[in-house]
Amino acid sequence: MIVRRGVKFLDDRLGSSAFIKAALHKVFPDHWSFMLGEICLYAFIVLLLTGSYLAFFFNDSSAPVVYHGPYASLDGRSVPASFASVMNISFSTHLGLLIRQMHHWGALVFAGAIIFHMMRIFFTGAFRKPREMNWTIGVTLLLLAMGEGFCGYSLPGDLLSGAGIRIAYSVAESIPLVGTWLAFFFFGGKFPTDVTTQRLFILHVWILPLALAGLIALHLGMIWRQHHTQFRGPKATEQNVVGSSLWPRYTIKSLALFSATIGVLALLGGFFTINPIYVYGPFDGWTVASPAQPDWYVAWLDGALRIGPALALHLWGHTVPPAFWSGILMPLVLFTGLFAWPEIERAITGDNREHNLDDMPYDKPWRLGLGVAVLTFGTVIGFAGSDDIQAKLFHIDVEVLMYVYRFLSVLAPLIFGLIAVGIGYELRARFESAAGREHIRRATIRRNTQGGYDEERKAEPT
Amino acid sequence: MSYAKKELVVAALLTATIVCAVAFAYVYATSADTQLAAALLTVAFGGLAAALVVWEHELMPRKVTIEDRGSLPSGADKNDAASDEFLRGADETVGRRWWLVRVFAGALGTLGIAVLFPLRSLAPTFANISDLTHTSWRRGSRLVRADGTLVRADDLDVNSVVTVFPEGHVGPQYANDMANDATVLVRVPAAELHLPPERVGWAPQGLLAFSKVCTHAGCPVGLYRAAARQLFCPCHQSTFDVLTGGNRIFGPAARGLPQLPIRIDPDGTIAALSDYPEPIGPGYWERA
Repeated sequence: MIVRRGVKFLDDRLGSSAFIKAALHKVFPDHWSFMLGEICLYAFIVLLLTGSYLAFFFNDSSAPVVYHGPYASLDGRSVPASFASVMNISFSTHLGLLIRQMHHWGALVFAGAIIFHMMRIFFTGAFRKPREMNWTIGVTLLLLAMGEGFCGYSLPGDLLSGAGIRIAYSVAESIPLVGTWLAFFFFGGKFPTDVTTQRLFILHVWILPLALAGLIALHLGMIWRQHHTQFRGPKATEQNVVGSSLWPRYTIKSLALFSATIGVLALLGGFFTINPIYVYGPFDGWTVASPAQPDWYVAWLDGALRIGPALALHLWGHTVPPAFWSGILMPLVLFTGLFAWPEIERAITGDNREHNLDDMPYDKPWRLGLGVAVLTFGTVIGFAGSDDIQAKLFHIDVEVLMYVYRFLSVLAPLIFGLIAVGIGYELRARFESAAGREHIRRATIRRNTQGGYDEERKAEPT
Repeated sequence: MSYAKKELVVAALLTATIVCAVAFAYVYATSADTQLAAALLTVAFGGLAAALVVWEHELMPRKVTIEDRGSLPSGADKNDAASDEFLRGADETVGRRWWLVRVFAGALGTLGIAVLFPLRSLAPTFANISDLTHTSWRRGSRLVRADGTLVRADDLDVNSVVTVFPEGHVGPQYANDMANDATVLVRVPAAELHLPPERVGWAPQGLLAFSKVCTHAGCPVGLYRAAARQLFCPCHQSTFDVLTGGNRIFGPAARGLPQLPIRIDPDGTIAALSDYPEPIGPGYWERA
């Protein structure tokens, strides 16, 4: 039979049978939150497939060409060649628009899944020894994903992404000492240049995906070696893994998730317009789209640029312009903190033991509070990134909104962080007392006919 | 539900996938309708996912598997053995020849730096900081629109705004220059002006010209609030006061918009008195 022949063929040449047996038996925990990382992987695969397809049709030149095509209001207009090629993908290639929008939505989902995956890892302490290295790789993957996304949506040569590149250029320029030259090197001279698109293209389709794929492989390899963490449970210990074995149940579950990810991206890509470059129009250097918003995973940086201090430092005939504080310093501090977190926590707790059992988020209330504070900060400045749209929508002066967001970016993380710490301590106290734990285990809350709630308790064991 | 019925559910879901897959291929070849194709793909992949979930959840034995993790640390012996293996090799290589190792490090370092030199080509050979300090505006450059037509003082009523460029520097071959030369020409009532004394002559008949490149992050300052006589950047909401000569009054920009000194010639056209007296655009290290 074919399986036995195949296994023998491989084993004769690679001595692989013991590995295959162990691999098929490998156990993965069943909790849903362990699937978040897989969504990242599957979104990445969809991105590779749709992206490779799009690359066959994309032109990375920004030289002006005359667009001719079914999109009447731009027909006959001089546009960058990159813009024309994306127009042709969208309107003159069968299902090109679907694949392009699936690609863009894929990027949004990829970044989103990374954040949620990271939240799970952070709040459960799954980054602790022996998994600190993998946390570092994960944070690097988040950075790469953001860079990859930015390069990607900057490619089509439209008015919105043109402003995005201009802003990125200004942020690069703001770096003390080396910024001007860094901007010259990266973008190929004084903004705008003819070579920026092709540089972003090679980064987007080769250098960054290669780095992403390599680090994802390393990320998974480490998980394979170390096994997943797992939540506390009746049979779970520090020495075992309780769940489904890779073959067959976990494979089937995971394939289902892969399939569902593709299905959701097809739905989003087909029914929800994303990055309509034909509405924004082609790039020219002296016009700007309004309102102008980047993709959500960059919105926090754009929001920070909006509400950041209007402060330029003048030092001995040199300038540190305001874009530096929001565009470089703040993300630098944030990501340094993220990279260093396993070490910082080790320093706080003095705990250098190996941990395979996850914390519940309330087990370390201060960690919960810090995580909530950082997430709140990111959310506030992310919303600040669309303050102009909110101003229009709610008829509030954008000036007022900016002060509100400045205020909230400091206050909201404090308040929500402290609330989270409080909730953490409260929950921990309840779960830590044996009586409380027993109470929760035996209690069932039911809604009664009056609309209120009754607590039913199972009988005490005899 | 019996197993037989659950099997039927799985079969039905997989059949939906087959039907939708065929229909997808048909739609691709015919109308290529985006929404229809997306709906078919969604149902096809959704059906596949649902079938697998039902199969795994309902048809397979509910079995919890427990695997021993094994221990990661190998112990002091194996750690020492690994270190010894390396150190023995290092000793065979180096021994007392440390000075050779230094030469070797020097060779690697020199080579490493040398092979980085071609990176210099990524920045244009003519790149110079002074590229950032001037634009194409010169004394006598007449103001034209993007299409090259001359702007006359009479063309602008109060609160009119037009984006202008230096004559002879418009068109596709100047597209990159135009991004930095772009200048907003705006007319306000001359009586309302509060310009610094040295700039009084820069705004004939209430016409003022400002760099369109925002001093914060470089976006074109594309919006004009007529009632407040403010120029407004749609990217990060930096706001500049026209009446005081482009002073920054709100938002993250730290500098006002550079003002281009202009004059009105006898034929009604407008010309620059010089290039911008200060570098336009966002700040950078070398800027004073």
